[in-house]
Amino acid sequence: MRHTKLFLAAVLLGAPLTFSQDTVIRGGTVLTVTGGTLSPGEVLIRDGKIAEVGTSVTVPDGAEVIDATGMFVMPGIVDAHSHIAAESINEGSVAVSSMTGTGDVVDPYDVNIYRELAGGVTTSNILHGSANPIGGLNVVIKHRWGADAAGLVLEGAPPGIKFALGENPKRSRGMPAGVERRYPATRMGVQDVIRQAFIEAEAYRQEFADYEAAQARGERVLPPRRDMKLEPLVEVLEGTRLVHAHCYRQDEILQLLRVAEEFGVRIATLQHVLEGYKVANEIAAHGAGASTFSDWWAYKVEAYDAIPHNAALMTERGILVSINSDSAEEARHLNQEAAKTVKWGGMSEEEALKMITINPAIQLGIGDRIGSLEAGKDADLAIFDRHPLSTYAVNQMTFVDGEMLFSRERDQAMRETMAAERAELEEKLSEADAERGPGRRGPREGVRR
Amino acid sequence: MTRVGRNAFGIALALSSVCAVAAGQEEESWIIQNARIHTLAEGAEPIESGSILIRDGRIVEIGEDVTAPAGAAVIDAAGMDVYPGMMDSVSQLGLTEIGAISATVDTVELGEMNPHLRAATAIHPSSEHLPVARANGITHAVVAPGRLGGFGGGGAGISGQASIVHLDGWTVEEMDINASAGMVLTWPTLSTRSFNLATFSMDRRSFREAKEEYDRQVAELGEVLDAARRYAAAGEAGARERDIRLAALGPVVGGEMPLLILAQGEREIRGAVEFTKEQGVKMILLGGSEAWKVKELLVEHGIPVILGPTQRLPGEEDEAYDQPFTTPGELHDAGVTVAFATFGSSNSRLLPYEAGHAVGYGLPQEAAIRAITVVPAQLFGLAEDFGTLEEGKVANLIVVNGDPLEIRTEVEHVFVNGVPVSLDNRHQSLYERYRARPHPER
Amino acid sequence: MVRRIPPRRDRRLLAPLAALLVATVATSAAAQLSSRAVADAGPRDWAITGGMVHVGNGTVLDQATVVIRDGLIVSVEAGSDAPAGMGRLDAAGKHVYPGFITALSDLGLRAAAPQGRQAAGPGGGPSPPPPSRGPEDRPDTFSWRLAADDLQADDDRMAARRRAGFTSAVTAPRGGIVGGRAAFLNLAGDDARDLVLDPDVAVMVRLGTRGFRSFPGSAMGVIAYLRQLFMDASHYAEVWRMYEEDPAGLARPRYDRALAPLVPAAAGEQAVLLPAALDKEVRRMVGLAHEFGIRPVLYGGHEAGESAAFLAAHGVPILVNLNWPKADPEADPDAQVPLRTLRLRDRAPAGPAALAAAGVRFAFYMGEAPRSGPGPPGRRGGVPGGRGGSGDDLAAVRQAVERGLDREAALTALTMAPAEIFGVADRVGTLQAGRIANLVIADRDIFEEDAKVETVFVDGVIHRVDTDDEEETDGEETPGHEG
Repeated sequence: MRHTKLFLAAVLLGAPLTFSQDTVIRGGTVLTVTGGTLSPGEVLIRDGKIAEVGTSVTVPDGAEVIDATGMFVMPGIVDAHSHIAAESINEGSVAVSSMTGTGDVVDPYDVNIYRELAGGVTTSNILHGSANPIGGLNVVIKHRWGADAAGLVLEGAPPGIKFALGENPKRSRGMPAGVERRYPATRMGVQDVIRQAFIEAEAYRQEFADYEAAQARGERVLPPRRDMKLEPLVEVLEGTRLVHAHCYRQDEILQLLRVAEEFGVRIATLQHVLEGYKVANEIAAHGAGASTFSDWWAYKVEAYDAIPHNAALMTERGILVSINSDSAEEARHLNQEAAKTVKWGGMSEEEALKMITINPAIQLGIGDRIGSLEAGKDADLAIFDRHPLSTYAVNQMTFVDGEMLFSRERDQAMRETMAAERAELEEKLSEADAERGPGRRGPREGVRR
Repeated sequence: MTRVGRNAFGIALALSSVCAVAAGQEEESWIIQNARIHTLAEGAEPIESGSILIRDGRIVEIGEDVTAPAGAAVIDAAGMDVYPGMMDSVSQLGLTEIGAISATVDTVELGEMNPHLRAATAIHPSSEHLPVARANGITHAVVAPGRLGGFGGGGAGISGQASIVHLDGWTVEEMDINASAGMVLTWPTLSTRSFNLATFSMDRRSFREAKEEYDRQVAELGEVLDAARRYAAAGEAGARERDIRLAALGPVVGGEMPLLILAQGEREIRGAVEFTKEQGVKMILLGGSEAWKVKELLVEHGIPVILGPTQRLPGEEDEAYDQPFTTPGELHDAGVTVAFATFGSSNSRLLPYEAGHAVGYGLPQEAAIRAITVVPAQLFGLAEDFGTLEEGKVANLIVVNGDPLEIRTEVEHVFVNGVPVSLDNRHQSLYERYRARPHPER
Repeated sequence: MVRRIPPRRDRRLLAPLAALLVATVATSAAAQLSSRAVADAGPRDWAITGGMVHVGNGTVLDQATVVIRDGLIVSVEAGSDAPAGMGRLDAAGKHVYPGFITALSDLGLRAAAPQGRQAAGPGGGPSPPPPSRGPEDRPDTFSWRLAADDLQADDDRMAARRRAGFTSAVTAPRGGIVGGRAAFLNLAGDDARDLVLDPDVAVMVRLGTRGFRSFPGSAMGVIAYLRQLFMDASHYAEVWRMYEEDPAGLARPRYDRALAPLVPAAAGEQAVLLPAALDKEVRRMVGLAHEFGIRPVLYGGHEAGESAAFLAAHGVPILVNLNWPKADPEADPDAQVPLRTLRLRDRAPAGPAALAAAGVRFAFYMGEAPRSGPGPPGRRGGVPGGRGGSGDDLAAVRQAVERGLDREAALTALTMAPAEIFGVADRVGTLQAGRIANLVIADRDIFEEDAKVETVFVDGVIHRVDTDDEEETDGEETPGHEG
């Protein structure tokens, strides 16, 4: 992976990220999320970063001033569970698919990057699916719409991996007739697969340690084979790779925490974790974060005890909680999903907003860089016309790294240019097709004009 | 009122509700006082501080000066708002419990022509979904059989009769509002691509093939309605042979029962409109993702739309990102009658937010409220009894601490069929149970 | 690999394989073979005089003469002087080019793609290959296969391509994630073995999956597999190197037929063909190639305009699929085609001009049409084969020329560039003394829309194109100027 990073860095240098101008957003209410609400509040953006936040900030000469009177400025929304912008997300053929990763198939053309940007989302955790007890590697992207795949990747975000428990990895819904079932078929087996994989990873680590020791002794030994399935698991054992574990039921949640503890591993986030409220004490004791849906339930048995108060209950027990989308649609109104924790469970408005900003950022290991409006952080922010927890709130502008990558106004203008371009291309292409004619072949065929 | 207080009160009400129904104390009455009352009656302004007297299931009196009769239970709604109960215009409430477990799902019958089946037959009054929806102010709902455009698509044909029920009652018969409220027809989709559940991949076919199948399906629908007409005529002429399928279509061809036609694409909507015009039957469009492309047609033919979820993705890559959000407002502005529905069950409680989401994108707030109260009542011929808060109407209403379209607003009281119902539900009980779990010793 | 091509009539008598074939194949087939051989007459050494000779390296000689002898170019010089004793072809007013090269194809391959580990199932019938459970099962990997070993000299499609001016092709094995190694071949010859210029020019990679129940079952699975595979090949090379250096005390490494042939590619010594139709795929594949330490040759290139600067910066060559994206005639006429797809259709033929302007080395091939119609544009790169046998190539190149591709650059992409990309520029690709005599003679500038290919030489053997019925008459004609 060393090569990739160097290479990506090289690509990024060519990305069109220029910050020629300072931007000041003033006149609105600033929901810093970590430092209270400033009304009126102002934000100064410089070089892609938040330079100042306060009731009154420096307005440098030549700065672009955005009048946000009556509006609400909040940190860009962080979605801790997404499957957009990836050309595939499930390698379901094997029980352990840690050799795969969504980072290999980032799709910068996926329009959902833009649609979510329009909903105020600026960072998403693109996870592997839940077909395997141990799934593939994730990639954290910023919604830098227009950048290439390498440019979307949030550089420096800690690497992670997907685990999955319960109905999905055990394939409880069965397979088409004649298809051999894949181990595991029970929650017992799911835990077994994870334990075995950790044991394998420990042995692998030992194999390399032995090799290095032998080399150090000057012995002539053959190098062991590198195994890209096990290397990420070694990183998990060493605490350098975050585990994001899809789970529903309380029993499987505990099983995972225990098997992880057996190997000295701390699970970074429990994803979905719909029965997390039942074992909130244990989750808090383990130190895992929890990233849950606002209110989905009953679509399968393991979601039958899901309650919309889950986020609030877990928060009350000391767990760091985020609200995620797991859906390109849901991600477009995560602000509304956060509002549901106010309604169901009595979270404060600030706590609710944290669940879609700083909390997921911390869970992804990037809380020092994004997730709140603080000086020094990335200038990722959204400007809503009403308080973002209102059903009526419409996001007006989204900034990523200080660049306005979405605005309602610009979007409206873009519709017209796209329509014009479409009309032009359709005419041009249909003329060309007519001239060439359908299915004409042969060496003398030419473009007749 | 604090949250805990509300919950306690909710439980108390639950008990009284049960007692009232169980003991059949029909003379019992309730009065809601000091409330801001949004009657939604035509042309009426909200009553800033008024009372509603409820007896025998109906609103007996409403206004600024209503005297509380002796024995009436008093609900002080100072600082609160009262609205008509919300109506989910298309749902699957009671037909499905756990989506992935087919044993608990009674939405889709085999076969493509089932006009004789009625949703009310299979509505499970003990479904956990009903109290969950109710607790957020959904008091009655249209329950429709069929796939309703769910996962895997398809399902073209007549899936049966939609039933309208109160979301409370000991039996489905007590819940009944109209067991045969509309005939659900999933319009054939002219699609060159279909999802193959067996291979988990997209199958493709030529447009010509798809068009042929579409035309055949539409022709068959016409033939069925023609047969229903002949059957009805033969019946009048004294024929005694029974065909319950054709008999079930009698009210449709007779113009009494609307066809609830689920169609999303412009071409499909146009096809459905043309079909119903030719057939001379009543149509309500369900879904209507692309209804915004045929506004004039819908206005011209007076076809109302029950919109699918507002919170969905645009249908095309290049469609405006907010098209699903702006569609309700666009239709409203054009003069199309619009109602909202969730088309679901577990998420029926989100109905007000589907409507509310459209408000930010151009639908007037009042129109959004009406689209989940008055309008659906009118669409289904229930306006005499439902949809507004007026004397003589069935007392399906909600008491809330703000705008019901706002998520943060809390529903304080719900009356269904004239009695306050419990706001307790599966979620609330689990919440309370696990909230009480002892904290670990520190 | 270059060797003298013996005259055909000699070969007919000498070839033991021909004798074996005659003995073993059906009588009719034998008769056909024999009659074809008998019809094979005419001179084998030629002077092509007076034509406008495009050397292929930028030099154009007007009224020049190309002399070919024993299948090789002897001289290319101004004037009309021709040695005696050879066939003479008057090319006055005509244009002479190096033979065109289609840079990726399945020409010469007739056999079906390999079906994986085929085993007789119960009752003798074929059973499906067992599902692969990880990279160690080497799924869909046939790196030991050489397209050169599966060539059939009598593939009719080769004649069709000759009529369009193509004298050489790169043929890659069909099927598989790693299908095997591609061959560089000439498009005429009696025996498959005579076709091959180089049997091992590149490793062919496709990004197909076999469905969700067998590894790899996803796009990211295939990439993960390739990562492990090249890593394993490097490891294989290292442990064998150590073992062969001195086996004493070392555990004997395991032989792996999938890894052994990949060692040169894993070391960056042999090119690896990677699919990349869209710009995002170009960037992804180049990134992976850097990571794996392999030398990529991309194929696809339908968003080449977007990719040009990137490819230039990374010095990566690309083979451009001349099957430009088109509207799907089967598609729903009312369905909205994404703007992205319309742009792709419009811009694809303009890509080569951008590549040339950016200094990217590129060549052409005729691949399958990438997925089009509603939905996002295709991902598969447009592998060669299938509909690739038609003669649309030049029409497609002319489209690229109309969209700004310089004619000399177009010619380079058809000749020298593919020869260089695949390491055979010392043999083919230009009209220079000592090179193999692969030539095309056209009645006018080949990029004029009505240009006709009249005559093609492959390995010095003349193939005339009857421009009326577009049938080719192989060497049957005795030129009037002989002597």
